Amino acid sequence: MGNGYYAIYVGLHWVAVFLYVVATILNVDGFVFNHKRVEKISYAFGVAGLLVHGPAIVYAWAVVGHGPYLTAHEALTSFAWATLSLFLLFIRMYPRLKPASIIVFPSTFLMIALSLFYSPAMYELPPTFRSIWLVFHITFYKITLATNIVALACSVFYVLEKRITAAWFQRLPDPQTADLFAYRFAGFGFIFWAIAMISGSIWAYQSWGRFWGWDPVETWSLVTWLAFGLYLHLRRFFGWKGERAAWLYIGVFAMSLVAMFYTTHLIGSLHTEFFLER
Amino acid sequence: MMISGFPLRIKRFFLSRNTVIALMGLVLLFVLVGALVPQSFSTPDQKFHGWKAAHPWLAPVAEALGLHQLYGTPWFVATLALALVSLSLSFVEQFQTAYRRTFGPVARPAGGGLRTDMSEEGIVRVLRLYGYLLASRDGLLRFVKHPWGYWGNSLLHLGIIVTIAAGLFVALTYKRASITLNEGQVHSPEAPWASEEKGLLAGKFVLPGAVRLDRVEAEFWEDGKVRMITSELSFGDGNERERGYSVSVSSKASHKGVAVYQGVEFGDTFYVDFIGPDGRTNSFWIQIKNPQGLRKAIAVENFTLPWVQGRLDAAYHIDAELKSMQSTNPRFFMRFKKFDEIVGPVNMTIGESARLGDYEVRLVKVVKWSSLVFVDMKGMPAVFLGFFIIVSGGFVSYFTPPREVIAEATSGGHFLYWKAARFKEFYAGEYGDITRALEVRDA
Repeated sequence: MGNGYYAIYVGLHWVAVFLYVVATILNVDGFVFNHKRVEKISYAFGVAGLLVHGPAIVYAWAVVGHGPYLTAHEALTSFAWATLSLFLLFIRMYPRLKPASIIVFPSTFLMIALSLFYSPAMYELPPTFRSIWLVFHITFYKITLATNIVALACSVFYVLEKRITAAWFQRLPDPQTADLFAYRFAGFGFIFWAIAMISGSIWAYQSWGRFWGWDPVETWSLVTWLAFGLYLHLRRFFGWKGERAAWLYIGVFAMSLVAMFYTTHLIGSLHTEFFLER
Repeated sequence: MMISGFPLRIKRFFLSRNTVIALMGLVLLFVLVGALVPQSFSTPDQKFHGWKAAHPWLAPVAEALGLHQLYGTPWFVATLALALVSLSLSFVEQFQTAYRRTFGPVARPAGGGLRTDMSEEGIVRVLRLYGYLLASRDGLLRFVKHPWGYWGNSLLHLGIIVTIAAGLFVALTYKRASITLNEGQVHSPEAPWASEEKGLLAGKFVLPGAVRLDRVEAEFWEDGKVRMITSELSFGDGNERERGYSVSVSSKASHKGVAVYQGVEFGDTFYVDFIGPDGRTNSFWIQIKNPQGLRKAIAVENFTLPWVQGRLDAAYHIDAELKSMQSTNPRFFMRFKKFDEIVGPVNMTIGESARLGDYEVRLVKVVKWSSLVFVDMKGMPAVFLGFFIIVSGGFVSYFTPPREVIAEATSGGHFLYWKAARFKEFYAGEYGDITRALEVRDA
């Protein structure tokens, strides 16, 4: 890849980082200090960031011929884009989720900023990655993360509302609503995670003749899914709600980050065998 | 059929929420331990021994408890079996509940209804706008939105059962083996495999016929990395017409129930003659992995030959002229090490000779080699069916939970009762919209 390509690609990313930072600052300021107009402008900056960030990803895709899922940089930048764009869709469907922006916006900025700490070098697709099932696998993990971040936001709101009495905290969804949305989005995340795991299994069977090999990545994914299932069963059948459900979800979310980011890129496994050396 | 006594106690035990949570927790714990403690079947030896050295107090405990072969231990198998029993009973229970809710008689709600003066036709029309369809008319009118949602949980659990059961069947009966073949080389059914793994109940893996690797073709990116590997094979046993297949990475072939996968390793095989001082010729061939660039080479080091005292290293460039990854004219390098003495490297293309110590070595020919994986795995359609049922059940359960409106006729109007199977508070807005549209007032 020529220097011109990298200049455009990295340049667009830094512009997106700037826009996301401004969006985050304005969003938090607007929400905390009840500046409605500022909060509204923050969304404009967020959308502007997506409009710069998205084409950068598409540009890279067009140049290298594969989606953004081969390297740590690609994974993080595409997760960032997917998280914010799906959040904007969620709040259209469920306007009561809007306050979750004070967690979603910083999460997006952090992911794209972190992606730039990794090499943005582009690599060609290894032969085992040429499968539509891999695309489903990756896509549903991105949808899952977006869903889980919303559930995390609601869980965090619940925990904090019990402890902080500042006036602006009262503008967060009331505890009952936060608890409800945490439960609901945890359920969505559980299903999306299942679909992501299953499509990964199908991809593995198609590529290597083995649908489950207790690979570290596969195993951690199953651990996380079971943990989500445990959370949902405790909520449904043991009436867990409120603070203990919130803390449990925060723990399960942390586990999901290990499964998504740590095992796929840092631990030796069949996945990392086929990730190119950087 | 009514059950009582001991069977009923067993059923209650497996369906109790404490048992369900305990079994889920146990399975989760096992899998978590399996993720943290290296498993012998999937961990390279070096890494495995490295972990043991790094955990001197934990390693003996892990060994004693069989944690390095966790998924084959009686504890894990027993837990899985108990979980399957619980899931199966749970599925039956949920199926019966779903059937009752879908087709069973409508029970008059205990109270809390709202009154509307709207006629039945008006109620039907309004509710249809909100996706509620008339499900039954049995004294009471019952409108349901997403009636299939009642089946979600039972489907989800059924899918898990089918997947686990089919997965266990596959794990017990599968056969998987790999070989590397040179172009033109035949692997007969009785020949040993390079590696073989199989389930506990599986017999020896014997191919339905001999297989010959006819051709290997690789495509490369501009930087020399592999884009695709394709092997052309022929299956036959000499008594029947050969059948040709083409396999690529992620594109398998099937022959008489055996799936053939293209492995990711391939390269060139070098046929070399060693001509000794006495004029005697010894021949050997060596497989070397394909280099990942024109100027790169992967070496095979420290191998020995019976007629040579010392060790040898061999490597090659894919193209003697360093121009094309598709070249059929590689440059082969070899050197010889004996104690502190290193002779070479010498290099040669096809047909050329070079002097290596006391020997004249000649590169006779070069052919491609490829790794192939053969899998005999029955039960996969059931596994995929299980996957489909899980996704369907989960989707239906979490994305389309059913809601109902029951209308009871009264003088001059109806009493209306609304309920949601799950997430009632989540649909409070919908309830508010419906009650406004139906012009209800408190009873």
